[in-house]
Amino acid sequence: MMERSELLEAMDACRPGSDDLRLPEMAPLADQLASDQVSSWTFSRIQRINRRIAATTREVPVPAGLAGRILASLQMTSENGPPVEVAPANVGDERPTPAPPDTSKRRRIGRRGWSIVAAAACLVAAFSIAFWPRPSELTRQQLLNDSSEWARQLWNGPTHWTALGAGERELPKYPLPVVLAASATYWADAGGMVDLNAVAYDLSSGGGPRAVLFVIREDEIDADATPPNSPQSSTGGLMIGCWQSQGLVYVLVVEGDERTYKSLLKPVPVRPFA
Amino acid sequence: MADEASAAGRLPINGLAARDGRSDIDAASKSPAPIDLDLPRLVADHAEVLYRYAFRLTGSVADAEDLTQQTFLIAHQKLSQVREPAGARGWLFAVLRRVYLKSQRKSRRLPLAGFSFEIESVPDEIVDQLVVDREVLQAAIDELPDPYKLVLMSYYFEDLSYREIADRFELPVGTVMSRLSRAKSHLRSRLFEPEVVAAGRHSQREQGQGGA
Repeated sequence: MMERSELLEAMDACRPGSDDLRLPEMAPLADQLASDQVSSWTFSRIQRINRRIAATTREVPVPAGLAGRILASLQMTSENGPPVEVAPANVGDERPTPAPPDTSKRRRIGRRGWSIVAAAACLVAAFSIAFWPRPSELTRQQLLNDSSEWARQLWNGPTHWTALGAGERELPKYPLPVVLAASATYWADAGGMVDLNAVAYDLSSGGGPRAVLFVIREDEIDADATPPNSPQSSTGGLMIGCWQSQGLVYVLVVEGDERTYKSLLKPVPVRPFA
Repeated sequence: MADEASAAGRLPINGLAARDGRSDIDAASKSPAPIDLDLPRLVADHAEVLYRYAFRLTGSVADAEDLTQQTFLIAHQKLSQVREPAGARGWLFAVLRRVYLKSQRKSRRLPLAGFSFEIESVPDEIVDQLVVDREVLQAAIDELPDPYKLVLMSYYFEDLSYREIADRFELPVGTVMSRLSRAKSHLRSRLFEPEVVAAGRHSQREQGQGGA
C-alpha cells in the first residue's frame, strides 16, 4: 500500500484521459487502484475535478482588438528595417480599417515619422536597460534577510525531508560546494519558499546545532565567489553567509555562534596582495 | 494543446538563464537555415493563446496584454532564431515565460503547512455539481509561487505530462509531482472549502429542524 501523500501525488500527476497510468513509475498507483476501491473512488473524483479545472483554466476571454494593438506596437518600434505590414493576414477580432489615401508624399512623411518614433523608442529602451533597476535580481541583503525565515520554516514546519540515497552525496543538479566541511544526509525542495528553483540540505549533526544550506539556481546576484570567512548576518542566533559559484547561489544558515559557522566551512586562503 | 507542449521544448527554470527561458528559446533554433516567418500571421495565429496563458500567469487583463505585447516585441527582434515553423508557438511561450519571470521578484510563499484539506471529505454531490468559479480559480493561482504556478500551468494549460514538465524545467520527476500535488491541493481547497462549509451549515440546519 502506498502512503497517502505518495498516493495523492501520483494521482495528481496523472492527466485525465491520458495514458499516464501506464508509465512505469505509475505502476504502484495502477496496482493500488486495481486492488483498493477507496483509492479508485478518490482517483475518479480527482480526475473529474481536474477536467473541470483544466477547462476553466483555458477559458479566458480575449479583449477585442488585441492583435491589432500588438501589430500597431510592433510597427511603432520597428527599427530602420522594412516596416511591419499592419495589414493582418487574418486577425479575427479586428475591425476593418479604411485604407489611407495612397499619396506618395504622405507615405514618405509617414515613413520618416515612423523612423523618428522608432529611434526615440530605441533610445528609451536603451536607457531603460542601462539604468532601470532589474527587479529579477536577487540582492545579497535580501537573501540574508529572507534565509533566516526560510530556515525557521524548514525547522519548525512539517518539512518533507528526503534522505539522500546510499552513496549519494548531493543532488546532481544542486551540487554541494567543495568548501563545505559538513556532509548532508537529507534534502528538501525549497522552491516554494525561495520562489526560484532551490533545495535545502540539512547539515545538522546528531544532537549538534541545526544548520541548513540552501542551493539556489540563480546566477544574477551581487554575492562573492567564495564563502565569507565570517558570517555576514548574525541576528536571532543564526549565523548566515552567502556566496555564488557556477550558476548557483549558496546560503548557509547555522544556529549558534561564529565558531559553529566556521566549523562547517573549509578555510578559504586569504591572498594578502589580491 | 498537447502540440503546443511538444513544441515548447525545454524551459529550465534553474538559474536566470534557465529561469528566463533563454535555453528554451535557443532550443527552438536547431535546424540550419532561418525560415521566413510572417509576423502578422504569427500574431494572428498565436496572440490569443499567448494572451490566455499570460492572463493565467499574471491574473490581470492589463498585465496579460502587456506581457503578450512584450512577447511579440521580443519575437519581432529575434524572429531569425526560429528555424522551424512548428516550433514558433513553443518559442513564443518560452519568450513569454522569460518576460514574465524577468518582471517578477516577489516573494510569495506557499506555506509549508496548510494542506490539510482532504478531497475525500467533500460530499459527492458537491463534486458532481462543481462549477469552477473563474475568479476564485484565478485568485488561487495568483497565490502560488512561480515555481508552482509554472508547473501547474504546464499541466493544466498546455496539457503536459509530469515527465514533460520535469524535462522542460530540468527538475526531478519527484519534485514536479510534489509541486503539482501541492498546487492542485491548494486550488481544491480554495474551490471547495466554501462549498463544504456551506453544505455543513445546511446539514446542521436540517438536523436542527428535524430535532425541533
